[in-house]
Formats: sequence, C-alpha cells, structure tokens
Amino acid sequence: MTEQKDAIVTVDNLTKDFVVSRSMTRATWMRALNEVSFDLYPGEALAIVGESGSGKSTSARILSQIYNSTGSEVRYKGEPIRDFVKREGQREFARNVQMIFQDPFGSLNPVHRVFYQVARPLQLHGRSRNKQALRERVLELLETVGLTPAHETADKFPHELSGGQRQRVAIARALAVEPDVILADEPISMLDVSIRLGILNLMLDLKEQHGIAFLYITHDIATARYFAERTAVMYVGHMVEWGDSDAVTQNPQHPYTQLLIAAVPEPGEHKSHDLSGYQHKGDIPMWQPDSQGCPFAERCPHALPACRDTMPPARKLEGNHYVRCHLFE
Amino acid sequence: MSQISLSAKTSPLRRLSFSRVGRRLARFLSFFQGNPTGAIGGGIMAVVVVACLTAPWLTEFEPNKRVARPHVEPNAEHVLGTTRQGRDVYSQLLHGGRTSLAVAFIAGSIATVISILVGIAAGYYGGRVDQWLNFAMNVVLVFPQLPLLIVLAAFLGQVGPTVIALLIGITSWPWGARVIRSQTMAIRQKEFVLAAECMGESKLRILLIEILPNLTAIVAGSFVGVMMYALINEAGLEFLGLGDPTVVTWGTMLYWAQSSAALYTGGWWEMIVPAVTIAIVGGAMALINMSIDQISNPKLKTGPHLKRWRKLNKAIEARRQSGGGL
Repeated sequence: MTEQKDAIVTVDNLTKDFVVSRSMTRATWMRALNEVSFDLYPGEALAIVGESGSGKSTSARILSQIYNSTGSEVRYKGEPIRDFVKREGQREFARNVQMIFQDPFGSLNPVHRVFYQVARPLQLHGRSRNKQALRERVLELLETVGLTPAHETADKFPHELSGGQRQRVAIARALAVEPDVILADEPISMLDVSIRLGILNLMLDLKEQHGIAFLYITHDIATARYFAERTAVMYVGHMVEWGDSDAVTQNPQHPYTQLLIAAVPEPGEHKSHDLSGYQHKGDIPMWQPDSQGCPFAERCPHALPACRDTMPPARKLEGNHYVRCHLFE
Repeated sequence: MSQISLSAKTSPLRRLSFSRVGRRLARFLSFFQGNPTGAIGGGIMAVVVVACLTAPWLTEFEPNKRVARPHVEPNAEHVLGTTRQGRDVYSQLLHGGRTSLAVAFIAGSIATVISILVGIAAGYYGGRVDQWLNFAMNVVLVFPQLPLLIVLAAFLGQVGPTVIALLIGITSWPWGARVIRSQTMAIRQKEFVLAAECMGESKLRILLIEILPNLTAIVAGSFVGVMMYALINEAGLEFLGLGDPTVVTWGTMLYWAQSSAALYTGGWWEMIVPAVTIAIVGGAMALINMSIDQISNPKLKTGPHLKRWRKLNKAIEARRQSGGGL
C-alpha cells in the first residue's frame, strides 16, 4: 500500500510467535501474525477485519508496545518503535500512540473516579501543571466526547456509568495526550447495539477534525466500511485481502472475504445455504512457524492443490485493492 | 444522551447531603449496614480498644503493684478481684490489653507489608521473579509455626513483647502473600493495567495506585487474620513461660495465674478473666474477618439477603396465583 501522503506508522512484514507450551527439550510455537504489512495515515482509518484468533488484537498490541514483535520493522514517523524502549522514549511514544480497549468495564480502574482516569495522562505527560487548568482541561475533554454535564460525570466512579459512557471516558483518556494515532481494539463490540453508532460517529469526528490516524479493529465488516477508508481482512495471522473499503466490501475477491460478507444477516432471507460450500470440518488451524500453504485452504470451497503448499504473493487488482489467493495467479 | 440527563437528576441531591468527608464516613459505616457479623465484631473490638487506651482513667490501681491482700474476691473496690500477689486484675486486664493488642497490631502490620510486597511483585512480574518468591513462600509455609516460635523464643530466652511481635510478623506472611499473588495475577490481565502501561505509568505507580487499591478487602482480611493469630500465639508463648514475665500482658496474666496455682487455691477469677477476654477478642476478630470475606466474595452472604430473596419469590408466587402476571 503506497500512496503519496506520508504514512505516520508503517508496518512491514510483522511476525509474532507465541510459545504455546514449553517442555524440557523443546517449545511449541504458534505464529499469531505472519508477514503483516500496513500503513496508517493522518486523518484516515484502517480497519482490520477478521474472526477471533486472527491476530487483529495482537497487531494492535504490538503497535502499542504491550507485546514485542518476533520479527518486523514497525516505524513511527520513520523511526523503528524499538528505539522508543528507554524510559523517556516510551513516554514520548505513549504521548503519540494511544489505545482504546474492547471492554469498557475492564479498561477503567473501578477504584478511581472519572476525573482521575482522564487527568492522569495529562499529569503524566505534563500537559497541565496547575490544578485549575487541569480541571478545566478534563471537563473540556469530557464535553468533547459528549459526556455532559461534565462536572458531574467527573466525580463519578466507573460503576456509576453505562457501557457507552465508560467507552466515552476511555476515548477521552486516549484523547487527553493529543495523540497522532489511536489504536481502537473492537471499541464497540461490547456495547449495546443502540449506542454503537454514537461511539462510531464520535470517532469519525475525531478522525476528521483532529487528523488522528485510526487503526480500527473489528469483526463487523459493515462498520469497517462505515468508519474506515481502507480495510484489511485477516485470517489466522495472514492478511488475505486489503485495499479501499468500498472495493473490499462491495467487490470481495478472496473466498474468506466473501464468506464474511455472506455471513452478514439480512432481513427476509434465510442464508444458511449460501454458506454450505464452506466446510467446517477443518476449523481454524493453529498456525506454526513451519506451517505451509494458505491458512484458509481447509475451509475454502475453491481450494487448489497449490493452496496447501505455498502462500501466494500479493496480487494487485484494479485500483487500490490487493488479494493473496491462488485463484488470481 | 438520555442516560446522562437521567443521572443528572439524582446527582445534585447526593452532592448536597454529603460533603466529601461525610461521604467517606458514610461509606465506612455502610460497611456495617446489613452486616451483623461485622457490626458485632467491630463493636466488640471498638469497646476493647477504647477501654485499653483509656486504662489510666478507668482504674486507679497500678497493674504491677501490690494494692490489696492476695486473692481478694471480686468486690466493689476490686471489680475483678486481685491476684496471688495482691495486684488488681481489672487494672492488669486493661493495661495488659494495651501490650497484647499492640503485639497483635505490630505483627499484623509486619506480616501484611511483607505479604503485599511479595504477593504483588510475584503476581505482577511473573516468570522468574514469581518462581523465586513462590519458592520463598513455600519454604516459610512448611515451617511448623508454633514449634518454631517456641524454639526461637526459648533460644533467645524470655523474650519481650516486641520480639514476639517481630517473630510472629516475619513467620506468618505467606498465607496473605499467596492470596494477594493470585488476585494480582487476575487483576494484571485487566485492561486498565494495560491502559496504564500504554500511558507510560511507572511500574511502582501501577502496583501501588492501580492494583493495590483493588486488593483492599483481601489485604484487610489477611491483616485481621494475622492479628488474631498473633494475639493467641503471643498469649500461648507467654503462658508457656517463654515470654518476659515482668511485662503485664494477657499472656503473662495467664502465666502467673498458672504458676501461682490460682485455680487450686480458689482464685478462679485470676485465670478466667484473661482467658475469656482473649477468647472474646479473638472471636471478634474472626467475625470481622468473616464479614470482610463476605464483601470480597458475595456468594458467602447470608441473612437479610436470603430473606429478601425469599420475600421476592413469595411476592412473585402470590402475583402468579392471583393471575396478574408480572
């Protein structure tokens, strides 16, 4: 994915292995991410779509330095993020890259008031020194994310808020440091359907007005198209199809993307027959560093013999639309 | 948003009725509300502690001076009688309680501080740190504690209360540490800890400000548990004659009662008073501990909650009978 604009985060061939079990003589490894590459641009969102265990969250957690990568070049503004490991560097990195978590009930510490949760990053990064300014800035942030009246919300504990309100607090906390990049790890999947759109629209505003680059992780391909300019589809740690959201969601080429789209329920239509081609016998494989071929081959209705041996290279279709599949070789 | 305007209605009222200090106090008192175990235990402890602290005003007699003839029966002047040495039992009880409770408090504090440090570090860092700390916990756990205390006390010879407090404190932390460790491991996985890490918080702040406050109930529980254990063990050691008999505590009161054969010579009050007091105070601490357990583990809750549940069920049943539905 190369464009004219300067990417703020570039990820090149990101690979991550986890130890599954370790015995005396050898360890079993699992490859959570394999050759994942993408860029983030200011004021744009990239959606990563995939099912549980596809490595979506892992990639966000590597970007936020919760995990170390096994092998990759992740660059923030041209500098490898590994150079940010020392104390001061890590602070600087945290000032620019923030994360929003999936579970608004787990991401706010139950013992601290909303004011503390939002004020803490401000204090930590020295944005507001005196008390009065700090309080004003916190209230301003709470108003930005739509938590009015702000002075009342600030004095509440997280358990006094609803799920949607908590997620807004989490967003306010991420915003407090005025980051360039926000990694949103399924920010709406644990919320009631009725308030999802509110949170999505809030993030859209932030993206457009503050020029923040978003990495939007989701398993809901419909919201990916709504929120993000570009979409990448992941399966078992591999990017199988990516490009402009409209192209990927309206004209899916990879059999897995087609499965995802076909699985979206629509009113008045009983769809189960559409999915009959996708065998469920070979469930989601556990990918190991020495595994071969395309991870989707077991479930793919169009699998060719070559699919079990090699993973095809990326193939450019028309426009900004790429796919990794033997059907297009 | 509608849910915000809803909560806005209730909040100013609350703001008016409680100042910040008042709210703290209300939260502290609400601990005892609908919690008879905690209320009884806390009440007994409060009375005992206040009585011991105000001992000089509650009794005119010195605890360590001969003030009357030996083994005077309880009467108006000597409320709980006198000992074989002619000392006032009531005065000894109050003054001795100061030392005994102080020993329990110091031992509890030492054990709690060690168990917090070890437990949180092991639970948060995991890996090799956890392996070593866990090893240390297991080593201390397998020591038979009372025999160890007896051997140590005998080796050091007639130890004072401070040494006893230290000995009990540094041998009884692993129980608390194990519980704190496992809870820390659970909390460590919570996303607010990850969020704090992402934010660039220092490790120390994450441990002390983010994780520790979530462990309050467990820490309080282990603190009270060790206090109870220390109170009883201190009395045990001193009763066996391993403590310093010149210091007045509930344990040395028992020691003197035993060595002067109080029960044989008819001075039953000299033996009964400290024994019953230790039992009551130990019981009060056990009650407090149980009520803390109920808070950190609501499944243990009984009493009014069960009653309310039954009432609710009855109401539903009655409504169903009358055909009204819900």
